[in-house]
Amino acid sequence: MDQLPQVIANGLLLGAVLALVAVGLTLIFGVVDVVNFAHGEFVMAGMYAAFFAWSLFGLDPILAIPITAAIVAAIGLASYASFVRPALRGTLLSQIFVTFGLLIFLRGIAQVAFGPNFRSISGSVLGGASIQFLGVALPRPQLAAAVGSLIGMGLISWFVWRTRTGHALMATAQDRDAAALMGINPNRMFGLAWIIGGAATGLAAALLAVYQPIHPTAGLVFGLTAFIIVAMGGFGSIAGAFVAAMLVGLLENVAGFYLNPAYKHLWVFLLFIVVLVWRPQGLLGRR
Amino acid sequence: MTSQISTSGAGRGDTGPAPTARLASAQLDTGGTRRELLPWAIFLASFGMFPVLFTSTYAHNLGVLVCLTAIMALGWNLLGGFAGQISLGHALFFGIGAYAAAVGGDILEVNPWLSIIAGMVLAVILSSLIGIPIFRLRGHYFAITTIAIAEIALIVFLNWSWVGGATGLSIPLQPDSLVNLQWSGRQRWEYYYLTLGIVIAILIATRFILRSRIGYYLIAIREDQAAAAALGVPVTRYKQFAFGFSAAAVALAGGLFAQYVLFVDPRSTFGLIISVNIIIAAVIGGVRSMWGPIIGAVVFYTLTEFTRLQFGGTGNALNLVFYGLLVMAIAAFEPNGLVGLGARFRRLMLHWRSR
Repeated sequence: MDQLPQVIANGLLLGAVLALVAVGLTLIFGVVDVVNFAHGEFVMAGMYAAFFAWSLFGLDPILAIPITAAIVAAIGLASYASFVRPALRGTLLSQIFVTFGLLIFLRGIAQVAFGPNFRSISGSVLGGASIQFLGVALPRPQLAAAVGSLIGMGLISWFVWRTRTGHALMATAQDRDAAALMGINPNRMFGLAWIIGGAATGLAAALLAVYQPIHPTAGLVFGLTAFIIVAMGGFGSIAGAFVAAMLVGLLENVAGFYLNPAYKHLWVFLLFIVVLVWRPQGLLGRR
Repeated sequence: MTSQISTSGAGRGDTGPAPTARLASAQLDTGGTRRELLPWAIFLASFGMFPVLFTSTYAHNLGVLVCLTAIMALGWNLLGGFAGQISLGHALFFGIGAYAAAVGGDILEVNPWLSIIAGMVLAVILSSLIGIPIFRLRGHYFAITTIAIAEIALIVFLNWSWVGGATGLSIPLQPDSLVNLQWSGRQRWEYYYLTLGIVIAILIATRFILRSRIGYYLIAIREDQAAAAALGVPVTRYKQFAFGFSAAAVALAGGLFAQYVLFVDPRSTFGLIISVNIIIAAVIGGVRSMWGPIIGAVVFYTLTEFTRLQFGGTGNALNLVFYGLLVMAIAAFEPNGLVGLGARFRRLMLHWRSR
């Protein structure tokens, strides 16, 4: 049991990054009412952006954060403006297939442009030896990613709860017709949600790129985990996503350490199904 | 109802025309009995003559793949297109069918037909067990959960050493015969006509299901589940029926595929790409039509082979780019796919002629 504090620390560090990925997803769902099935592919795109900023221009991932955030935000806005917006008028089928098509498209682009090879970034200032803290070893990349994610979530929370535009965004999420009557342009808010969701995902991707392998199918696990977190935390809830992400991070590490590590995602997926069936409104969600 | 989630598609019933009006307007796309003859004639003539007109191994192989994809897309479409339950995880049943054939051939050494039928039965049992929890979910949640279940199966089979783990299983060679379901000839006559026969059988089954009360029930569930339930449609039972039908069809295709290539491994059977292929075929053709999946399967392989011949190895990835765009465009502008586009064109022609 002496390994338990270490396992818990790893779980919380992972949870913090997952929380930021999930917040990007929950913002888009909460405001636009469409699930971005390509969310994991957004993470993958951000990781490639960080990789090429590093390999071509020698930019450290921490300095590349504005670039990756901007690129993923641009992908988000472009997706919304091109295909998602017309599909919103359609049936549920259209709404699912439009972002599922985006998943296929982005994955194909990555395979054509970058090939199936695994890539990784080395020599980042965020890398290096672990920091010892209360007898627990905190690996620097993971620690930096967790801290960066917490800052990112803080910024998003501040924007959403303390600015006029943020209030307008939340008003649209609650009732788009009422918001429209108050003079808020829902269409612009939808675009904004895709931009902010994309930027949050781009930030998380740059931090993940420091210590995760980068390849065209890297997104699926992050995408699925983000859905799971969002569904568990209650759709549209930032606080719920944070709590659920910590739970998922803990579960993945505890199950991976004490049980067979090959099955660590399996437990998360099973937990997701159990939670959805048992509490469809999410762990913290109210009806 | 505990499963009602107001943020998703479940709340959409609040807007638009009254539910009963929409139920009444939801019509079936099988046309009149006489109007049905023309598509059947075109289908039978073209599919029946294909291997006679194009006799290369390459063409025959392509024909088999088109038929297998058509079987899966037809099965998927009853659940996804007609009952409106969008599964993104049907690779699960493909994998079950493929592994049943491989386990039967390589480990248990039983007749392939037995293995394939066992795989279908297993798929139906699995679908009804999975259906109990997930049919309480609607819309997006259902779709996400189906992906998660297929991924669970992928993880299990990657780590299950009895079925070969990540390396998979090979089916041993047997003497050529229908009983052994193996033919070693350079051409693929036997396999082509066998799979074509199954396509025809599933088409006929689909046609009768859609023309029966069940078809109207399924469409009522898609259009407005609450209204359908209020009118006395046993919603869960018919969702389970469509799920079981689609699971059996996809498992059958999986078993035939394993028997055709004599090899299975987890990633090429349980992987997301299989679910993606099924959906591309169904969506391109048109999900609200019986013939959509057939047209979709043909177009899918024609385009796939075209890009592969033009661009070689990168063609596979290039296909994903192209299909991704196509699926997005269809979702955004013509949800009924090529069949919908055709209907639009026909209306335009009629309008133009009547002037």
